[in-house]
Amino acid sequence: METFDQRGGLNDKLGQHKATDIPANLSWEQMGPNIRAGLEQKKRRRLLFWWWLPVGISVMAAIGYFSLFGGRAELGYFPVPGHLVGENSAVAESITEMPEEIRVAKGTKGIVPPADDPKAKGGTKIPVPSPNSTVINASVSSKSQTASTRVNPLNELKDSQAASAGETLNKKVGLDLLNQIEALAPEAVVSLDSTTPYPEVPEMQAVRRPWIVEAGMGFAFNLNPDIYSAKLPTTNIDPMTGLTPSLRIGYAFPQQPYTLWAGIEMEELVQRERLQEASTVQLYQPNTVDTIFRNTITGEEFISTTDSIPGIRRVNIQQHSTFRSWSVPILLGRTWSAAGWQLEGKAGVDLNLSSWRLGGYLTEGYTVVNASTRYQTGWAVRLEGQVLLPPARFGRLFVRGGYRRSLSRQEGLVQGSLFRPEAMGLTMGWRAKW
Amino acid sequence: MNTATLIKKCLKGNARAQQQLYEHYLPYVLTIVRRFGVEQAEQSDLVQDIFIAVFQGLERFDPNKGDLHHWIRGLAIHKTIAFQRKQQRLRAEELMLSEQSSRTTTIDLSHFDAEYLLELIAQLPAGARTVFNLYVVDGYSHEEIGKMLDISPVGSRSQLSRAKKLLREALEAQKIKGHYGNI
Repeated sequence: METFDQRGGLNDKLGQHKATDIPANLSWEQMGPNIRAGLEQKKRRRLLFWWWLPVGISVMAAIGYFSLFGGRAELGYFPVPGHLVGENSAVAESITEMPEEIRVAKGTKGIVPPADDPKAKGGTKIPVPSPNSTVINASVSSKSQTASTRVNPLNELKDSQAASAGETLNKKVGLDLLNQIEALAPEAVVSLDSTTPYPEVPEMQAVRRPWIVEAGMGFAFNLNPDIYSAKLPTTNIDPMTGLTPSLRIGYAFPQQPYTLWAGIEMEELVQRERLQEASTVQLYQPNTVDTIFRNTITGEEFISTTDSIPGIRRVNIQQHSTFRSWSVPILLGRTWSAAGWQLEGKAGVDLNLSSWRLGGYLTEGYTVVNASTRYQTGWAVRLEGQVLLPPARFGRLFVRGGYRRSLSRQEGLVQGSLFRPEAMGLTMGWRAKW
Repeated sequence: MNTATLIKKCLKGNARAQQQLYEHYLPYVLTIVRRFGVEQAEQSDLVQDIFIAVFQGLERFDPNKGDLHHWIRGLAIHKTIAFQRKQQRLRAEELMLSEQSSRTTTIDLSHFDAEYLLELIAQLPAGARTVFNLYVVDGYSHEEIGKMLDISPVGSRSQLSRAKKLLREALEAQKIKGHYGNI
């Protein structure tokens, strides 16, 4: 029975129903061309939409590369209580052996605080290594290792690492860490009551993310306009501001305040050519003007005929030219930090991938000749100062001031003229680390 | 030509294959478009949009998840609802009208002509008609309908009750004209 009381109750009757009266305007002859044209249009739109794909892939590849190859050294930075990894060769020698002390330490939460440790008296239940703690040194006890292997998966991992006998320092370090984690973790009791003081965590010695990315947008003020583009002596050149988007990647050297930067930057230097002329001229009148002077005493008359009057002729023409350049800055930065704020000074060179000018110049006939230059390459020096605000979520805001002077002379708009671009700028942007 | 070959040729842009697919599925699509109350003057635009989406989406069609007919039907339903919403035919205030469901006798619709039923459904208010179509004909759940129309499942149930009440009244009124079923 078909009813409308059930879900899908009329599916068979109406869901499979075919319309029999197809209007003529829905025939393929009428609709086909429109449908096919619509498909082509969408295909084009889709291609345009995917322009960002190569950019995205490049960024992801860069991130992936840095994540894979840039982060290897981080294990070595992990704060191991009592010693720095790599410093103590005893660590490497004891990796395959379960320390007797650790087994004991498992009952005493891994690390034995000194008797006079005030934190221990304060009831801290989380065993956290501190500089005052007595660090359990690794020594031999293969029997206890066998016993614990049956019950603890960490030991399986440790065994597999030991069995592989890679003998690399990283593995040894890893096993050492596993031993310590095993000693610490299982009996850890986390108490969140308000009376429990927070455990003191030793200062991270070098757990830092060395890769930095900065994206910014700012303005560049043209300090050295192309004066040769002014062909007329009465032309003034006004330097103006242009946009400077930038994207940079930096590598912070471990345990040093230096950062190496590279990236891509576009710089627009704008100038305005302005012709202002004012000259006195005689303006001729279409009709003659007579002025009659009469001497009222003698009755003499004097007639003056004027066919022109003096005036000032003003000419005001202006146009803009833009010098654009894509460059790869390679900079070394030095950082100073205080109260969450950060100051960074950078210096280095710019490799101009491509520079060109667009615009025009004014000629005697008070006309503007449009001109552009070919694409050129070159070098420039760059000095920058940067202030970074205290970290917020996902990174920190920065304001950067900079000065850039080209080492190479660039071709000007007027044939045969050369000029040296020079600019100072202000950029605001966002910095993130990974 | 079997469906797989037809799809392959359509994906290559073969005009004859596209025509074949269009002509085969147009009657079904047109029924859906009419069932949801799209006006005749707008039907060609909507049909065109639906078939552009069909040809464009064929590369995503997975025969393991269902047959082509069901896939096109689902796509046509979604496109039609989106079209109606764009034209503001499915107004929120109307979809929010509540209707108490009441227990009534079941009507057997087996003996009713499909075209006649479609005519009756087309006369329902837009909100009630859409929910009725989606639930009773296309088999969507109230949760799914709620998501499609941006209303709560309770709102969907309410609209369905309203639609059934109106249809029941219409069928009662038509009994004397000979279209009645077994009540």
